[in-house]
Amino acid sequence: MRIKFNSIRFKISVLYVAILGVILVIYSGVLYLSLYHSLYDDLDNELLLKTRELNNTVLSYMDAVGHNRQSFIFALRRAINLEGEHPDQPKIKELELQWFQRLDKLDLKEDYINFLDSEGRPMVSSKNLDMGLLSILTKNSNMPNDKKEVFRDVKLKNNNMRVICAPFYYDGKGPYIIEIGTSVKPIMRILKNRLYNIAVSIPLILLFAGFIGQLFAIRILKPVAKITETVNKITHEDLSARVKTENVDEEMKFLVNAFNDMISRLETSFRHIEEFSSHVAHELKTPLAIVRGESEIALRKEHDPEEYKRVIRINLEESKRMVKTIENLLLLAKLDYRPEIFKFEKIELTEFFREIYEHARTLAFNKEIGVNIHMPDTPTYINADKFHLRRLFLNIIDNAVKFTPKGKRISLTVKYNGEKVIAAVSDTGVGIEEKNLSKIFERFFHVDVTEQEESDSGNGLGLSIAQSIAKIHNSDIHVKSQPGKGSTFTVTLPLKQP
Amino acid sequence: MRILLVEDERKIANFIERGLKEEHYAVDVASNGEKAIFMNDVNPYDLIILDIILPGRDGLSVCKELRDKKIDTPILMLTARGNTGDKVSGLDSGADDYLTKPFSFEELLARIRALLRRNRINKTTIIKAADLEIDQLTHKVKRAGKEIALTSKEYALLEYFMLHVNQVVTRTMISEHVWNEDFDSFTNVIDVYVNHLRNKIDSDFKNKLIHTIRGTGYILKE
Repeated sequence: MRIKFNSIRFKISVLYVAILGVILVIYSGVLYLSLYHSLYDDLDNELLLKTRELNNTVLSYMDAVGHNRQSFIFALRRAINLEGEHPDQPKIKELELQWFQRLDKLDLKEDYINFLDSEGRPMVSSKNLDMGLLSILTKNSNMPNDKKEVFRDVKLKNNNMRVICAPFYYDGKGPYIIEIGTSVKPIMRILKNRLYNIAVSIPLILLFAGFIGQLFAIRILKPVAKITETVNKITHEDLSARVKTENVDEEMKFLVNAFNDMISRLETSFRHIEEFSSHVAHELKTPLAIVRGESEIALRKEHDPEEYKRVIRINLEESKRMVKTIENLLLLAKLDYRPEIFKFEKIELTEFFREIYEHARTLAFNKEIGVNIHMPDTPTYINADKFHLRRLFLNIIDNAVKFTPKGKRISLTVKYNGEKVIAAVSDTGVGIEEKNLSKIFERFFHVDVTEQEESDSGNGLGLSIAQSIAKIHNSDIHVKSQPGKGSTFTVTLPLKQP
Repeated sequence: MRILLVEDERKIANFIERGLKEEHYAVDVASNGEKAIFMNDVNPYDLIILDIILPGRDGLSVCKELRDKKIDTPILMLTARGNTGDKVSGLDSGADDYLTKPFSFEELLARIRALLRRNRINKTTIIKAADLEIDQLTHKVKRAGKEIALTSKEYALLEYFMLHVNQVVTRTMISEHVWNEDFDSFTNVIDVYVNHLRNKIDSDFKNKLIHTIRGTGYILKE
């Protein structure tokens, strides 16, 4: 698993680790501080307990041996340092045993005990207090005011101490001062240990979390990897690949669906282009094949001049056919992508349709087809591109002539209907089969012609061009047909409002 | 050799037909797939030239149907589409060769010759029988080193005999493979042509090659 620093995966894990790190540090800090305070509170309570116990011990001693200064000193020395022998030893032996058991439980042996008189002079102190320590404790001892205990920290070279100063009274005399100091080393050891644990565990947890974060990020980003894999499979030759949508998270599903839709659209347009270019190739290669084949065969052997003339005529026809196909293709491209080439102007329709009629008669002349026109002769105007609108009608008429047998009729009917002009071209030809009605405006669509009609089936672009021109004039061509009886093509155009 | 040409573009069919006839082939033209299958059922063809883009059913399905019927006549596909995918689907449907329009007519002829000699042991264009030899490429005929001039039909007839040397060739076989559909088989045209051929090939030589099998047909014996 290589880490890339600008990857989402990396960013997600870094964010994840950072948030977790901050939480862990704050949490551990709070825990550490509360531990610190509770340990110190415990220590203080312990010290307080010790002073009370010592207090009670001394007072109990004195109750046993008498309330005077001598027995007070003796009680202190006995309680603190287990010094001196009292004459009535057997009498107090049993008491002492109980006291010492209690004192032992408090572990006073490790503590430093200093007993001062009301002037702050040391009276009795434990044996483990050397002169230096004694003077430090004595010097800093302060008289507990208002009969309350006072805690303080004493800083030593290698051993910090927590010290309690508590007042001591007997028989209304005092206050004397009990000073007990205890090493904070055990607490420090616990705290240090805890700090060490925190310092070691947090980075370990974060490292682990980072790893888990990466796994999570990979899991979350898995659809992205899948999409990438699919995208890599897609080429212009094969657009069939799709990203699978099952087991994809909701948010990713939108992306995946959008992506799949995009490929579908691309696939459709690619197939369209492919079909189109295959048609173009066919339309252009057929005349080329004829030109080439006829010429090659003519040149292989000697032929008579009539044969050469025939070949040249065919070649000429075929080159005209190619030019026409190319012109039509260019026109279609313009209609599709450059509508700005159209020049819309005010056209008078009576005059316009009269021209169309003349053209239609010329087109129909060779097949001895008659042309009728029905048109009101009130001058009416329309906003259109005259050249292309003429092309529209001539293409429809050309198509009608092509599919109408010799000697039959074609009629052109024009009606004005308020805001619209309705122009219909009807023929009495072979008609269009139901299944082909929707296809006749497709580019390169050819009806499967039977042999009698195959003489010149055109290039299958005429009606498609007519339809494109109609669209640019905000119009549409409708066709109705009865096979065997004929077809009617209707164009409806908006009139120019005066 | 009789060829079925399946092509809907009348003008293309026209020049291929004329060009092939000039090369002594007998040619029939079908303008769509259904007609092609019907004509193939009726006549025994030595080769089929099949356009892919046809009205109605396309050339690929025609080719598949012919192969499904266990017809192993060599098929040469012809089309305007020339990308690899189209070639692959053409050949996979059972065609033996593929030619893209516009093609050179010489190449078409060469491919036809190659397909026709595919099942022959002798893969060259020269066929020999005794001291007679013909060159399918130049259409020159020699006997004992001497060139003999033949008409188009005579050459086609001789070529058919040479391809079936030492085998009895019936009049029906000749009418089916040397002539096309326009031929009226009730005439004695075949006998007339065989006699012409004998005059040119055998009359100057002692060792006669073409013999009549009474009631059946002819044989070219080495």
